[in-house]
Amino acid sequence: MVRKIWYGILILVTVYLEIMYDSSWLLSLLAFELLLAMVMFLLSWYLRMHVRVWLDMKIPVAQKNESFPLELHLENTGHFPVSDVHVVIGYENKYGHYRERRVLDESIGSMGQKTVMLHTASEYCGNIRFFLPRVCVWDYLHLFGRKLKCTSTLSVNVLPDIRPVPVEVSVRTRNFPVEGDEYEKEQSGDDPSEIFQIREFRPGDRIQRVHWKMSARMEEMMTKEYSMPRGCKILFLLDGRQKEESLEKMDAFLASAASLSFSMLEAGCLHVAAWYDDSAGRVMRHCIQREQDIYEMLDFLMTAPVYGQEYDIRAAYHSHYPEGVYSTVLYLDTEGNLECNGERTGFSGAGNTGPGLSGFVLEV
Amino acid sequence: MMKKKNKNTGIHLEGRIPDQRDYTENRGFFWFVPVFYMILGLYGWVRTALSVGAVSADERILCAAVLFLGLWFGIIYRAGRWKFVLFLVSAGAAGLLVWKNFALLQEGFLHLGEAFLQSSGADHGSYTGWQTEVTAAMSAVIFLLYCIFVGCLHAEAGKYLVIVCLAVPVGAAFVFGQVPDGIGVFCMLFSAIGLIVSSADERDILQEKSALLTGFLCLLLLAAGFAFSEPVLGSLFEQKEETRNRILQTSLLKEMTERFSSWQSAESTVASGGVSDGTFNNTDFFQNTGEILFSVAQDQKPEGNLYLRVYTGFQYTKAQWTEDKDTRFPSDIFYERAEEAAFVNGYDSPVSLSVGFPEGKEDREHPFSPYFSTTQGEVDGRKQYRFYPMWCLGEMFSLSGDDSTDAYRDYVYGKYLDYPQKRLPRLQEFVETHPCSNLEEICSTVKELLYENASYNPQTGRFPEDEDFAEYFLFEQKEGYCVHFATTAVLLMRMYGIPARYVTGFAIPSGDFEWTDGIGWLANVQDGRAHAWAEIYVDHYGWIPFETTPSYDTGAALVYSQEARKQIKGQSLPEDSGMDGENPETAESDKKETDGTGEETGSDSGKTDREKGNHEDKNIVDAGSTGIGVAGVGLLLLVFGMIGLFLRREMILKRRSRQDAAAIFRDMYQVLVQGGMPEGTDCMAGDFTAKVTEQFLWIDKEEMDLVMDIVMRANFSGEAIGKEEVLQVRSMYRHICRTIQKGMSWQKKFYFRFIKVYA
Repeated sequence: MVRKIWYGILILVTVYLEIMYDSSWLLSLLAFELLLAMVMFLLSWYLRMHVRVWLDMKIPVAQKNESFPLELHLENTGHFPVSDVHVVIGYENKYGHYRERRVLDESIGSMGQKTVMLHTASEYCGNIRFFLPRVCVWDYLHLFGRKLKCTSTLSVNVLPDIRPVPVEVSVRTRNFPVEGDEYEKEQSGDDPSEIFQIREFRPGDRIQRVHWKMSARMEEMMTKEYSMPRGCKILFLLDGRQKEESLEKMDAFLASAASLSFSMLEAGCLHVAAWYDDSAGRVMRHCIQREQDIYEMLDFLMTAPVYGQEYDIRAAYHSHYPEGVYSTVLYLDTEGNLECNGERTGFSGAGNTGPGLSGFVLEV
Repeated sequence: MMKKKNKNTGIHLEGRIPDQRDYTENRGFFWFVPVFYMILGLYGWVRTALSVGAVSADERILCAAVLFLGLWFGIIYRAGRWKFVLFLVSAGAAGLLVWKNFALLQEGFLHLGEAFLQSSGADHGSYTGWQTEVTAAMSAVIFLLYCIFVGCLHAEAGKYLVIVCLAVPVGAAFVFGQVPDGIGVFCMLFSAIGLIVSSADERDILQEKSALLTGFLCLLLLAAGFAFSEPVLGSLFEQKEETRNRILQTSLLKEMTERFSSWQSAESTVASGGVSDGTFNNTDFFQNTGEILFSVAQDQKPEGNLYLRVYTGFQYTKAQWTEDKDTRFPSDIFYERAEEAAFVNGYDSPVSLSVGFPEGKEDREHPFSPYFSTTQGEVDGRKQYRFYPMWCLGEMFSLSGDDSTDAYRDYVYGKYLDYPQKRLPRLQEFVETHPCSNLEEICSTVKELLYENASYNPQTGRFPEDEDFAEYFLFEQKEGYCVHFATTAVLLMRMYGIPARYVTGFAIPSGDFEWTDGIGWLANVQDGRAHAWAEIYVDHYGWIPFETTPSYDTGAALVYSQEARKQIKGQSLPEDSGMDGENPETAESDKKETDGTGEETGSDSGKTDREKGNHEDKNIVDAGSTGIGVAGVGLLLLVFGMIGLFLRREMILKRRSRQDAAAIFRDMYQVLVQGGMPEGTDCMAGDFTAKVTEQFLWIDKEEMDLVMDIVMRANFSGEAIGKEEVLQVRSMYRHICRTIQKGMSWQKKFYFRFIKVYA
């Protein structure tokens, strides 16, 4: 705008001089100035039609506090180089109420492409959205700028740090009968459809389980052990309600969820993670049987929209999934409260500053 | 260029990964583009400066100087680390040349200055001679300008300083009333456009390409401009002569002031306008737009000029005639005497006069009274007067005086003879060397002096404020208009012992009156009738106008009594003196006027100088020569300052190149603080590297660890650090400096490179 004003003043001064002085070239100068402004105006439109800008990232997943590259692509399909493309990159963490901007001024050659790699890192986990609120192409004299419509947005999931927590699995949980297609590899059970192992007969073993053929072969009494079906015995309810917009609390919530889930998995406790998805309007669940499942769960959790209204997730889960029976029900909320079967534990939240995980033993 | 803002999201979007390609790509021809524009601009500058100064110089040598110095400084501009050395060599060579040819250069600069001063005056003739000296001086100026330009081009904002420097001779030309050389102007314009488009960033080839493309485009547009300007735009400027005259006659300041005044208050602009102001150099006084200020109607056919008084000034100060507002004596004294005299002469009825104003211009503050008049109040918004025209007052001197007139006489002689003796030595000398014996002789001597020494010029400009107005008019300027003539006449009459006053108002010739049924003799008084004249006091007669402005003086004899002729300072008048003669055309009549309070007021009159006359030119010349001197000194200081900064920088860099690893790290720490690391970060802490690499993502952690290891060993262990390790530390330091600089504004970069000299 400033340059437009100066240029306007220049034209007015030229008009004034043309009136006040007799010269052969002042009129030509005025014509030149007007023509130049027109040409720059047309050039700005031409450049606008031939420039494209978009964001890209090869793998839209990153680890907290670790750098990841964001790619800004600029393409010019026109015959004139672009000396100034003014790009504003906006970014926000879904769980915070701030948006920030970075400004880039780039140039692109004619019929050329350019990729600008930007180092990015996040102090908090969550879903980060990158977008282009404003992209403007300027003519060479910076008189006329044309905005480009850029709907390019990029979502990146920043994963929390996982800190393993000691887990004490109670006998009840360990022996809790569940139905499943897989069987425990370390533990025998009572499911006769799968043999866990065949071993020598010990006093107390049931006669019905003697493997007579093997016993005849081995010339000693051998007995069969049945397998225990492998299934989700623990329900892990994740109450992601945000009473207040706080990046720290959500970061701690996600880190706690991930750490506890990982620790339970390491301890052999398959579990079901459940959370409320405001966009679907119901409780969603995901069975955590492998490490991959934890990341999938986190992905679903971070993708779910933020909500602040009260929601009784326990009641909602049981009404939606009435068949679920679990040995332990864990409940974690964004305030860092962890309940086990309805009783508060001494957990006080993980995250950047909380020492909540150190010294804590999860009893399931 | 990335710009950082406060982070509240916990997300760090750091600068782009340094593009190694930018440093190493072969830039080919494009490095020359800003240099080319610089040379073009300076060529235009030289052409324009020569045309403005109208000096005689060897253009071939100057063109060669522009070209070769331009190429040389272009090489310096792009020489990287060798810049300083090459610059020193250039400065040394230039210094040597200056020392050897100092006298020649001195002459050249003197004559250049004189040429510019001469060109700023009314005479725009060519200044010939001294070609060699002027050429040498111009070459030196070209060298200096290149020094400045090359320095400025390192910063984005410096380009604009270059453009301003280039525009100076163009601006000077127009200010001096000349049209500069067209080719020179276009060269400078192209240069400005090219510099605006190109970039100070040495790595930015695309900007240079765009600059080149823009230059080519401008050439095409210029050709199109020449071809199509006349047919397309010519018709818009057909009336330009008329527009020019209107502009010259309009004072923007006055227009704005008037509009502002009308916005501020509900009161309208009064009819008296600039006439009711006593200051000299009053631009509001002399208007000639044809605007009708008020109307005058009288019931008798007018004879001669009708003088309507608006403002009376009695004390002469440096800036004005201060207004006379003394109301101790009633204003009708001499009306009554005139009434008697007219009756004696067989003249029965006074003239009834009314003054009316257009709506919105009512002026109740100032009188618009004729001589020998009495006010009759207002009727329908029109001021009413009765007066006796001077031609009918012939026997007035036969009337004897009375107590009131005697008292008034004493008052007049006590008040209206003052003048500042020290400021008017030449007028004083004239009066002393030209003694006169009577009033008639005094009046004719004064007129003769005025007419022989000064001519009438309504376009006379402002006078210098440190000169006396009257003496400057009569002995220096020798031209002026009614204000000048009236002021000087009043002072001269006072020196001769005749009480005199300065009056402004309107002088309406009889030809302006037309008979209008139902109204009488009506004149619509235009602003061009504003006038200033002198009034002199004649005993028992009163105040009469004494016209000394050549275009107004009808040559009529002064009307006064025999005794009044003999009236000189200190002498009393005899009683019963008769009139010598009457002349209805005479501009002087006996009129007594009582004034207001004894406060001194000054009238001042000024004239709007619509065209730049010699006096404004002189003022411009004074300002111009001072400005050139100041600019010259400023330029020299700038150049020497830059040289000094460069020298200091190189010395510090040389010292830094000999530093050990520990010292390099200290500088590195400071640079990191400049880049945003919190001051006081403990570099001894184990997580220092982590903190640094977290904040500056472009620093490789492993490399930083290695550097810290070297630095710790250098500081705390006794072992010697090898050259290679020092080089490693230095390399990291340079990398940090380069990257951190990229995100800085030009001011911070200047501070970083030239004040702190980190890199």
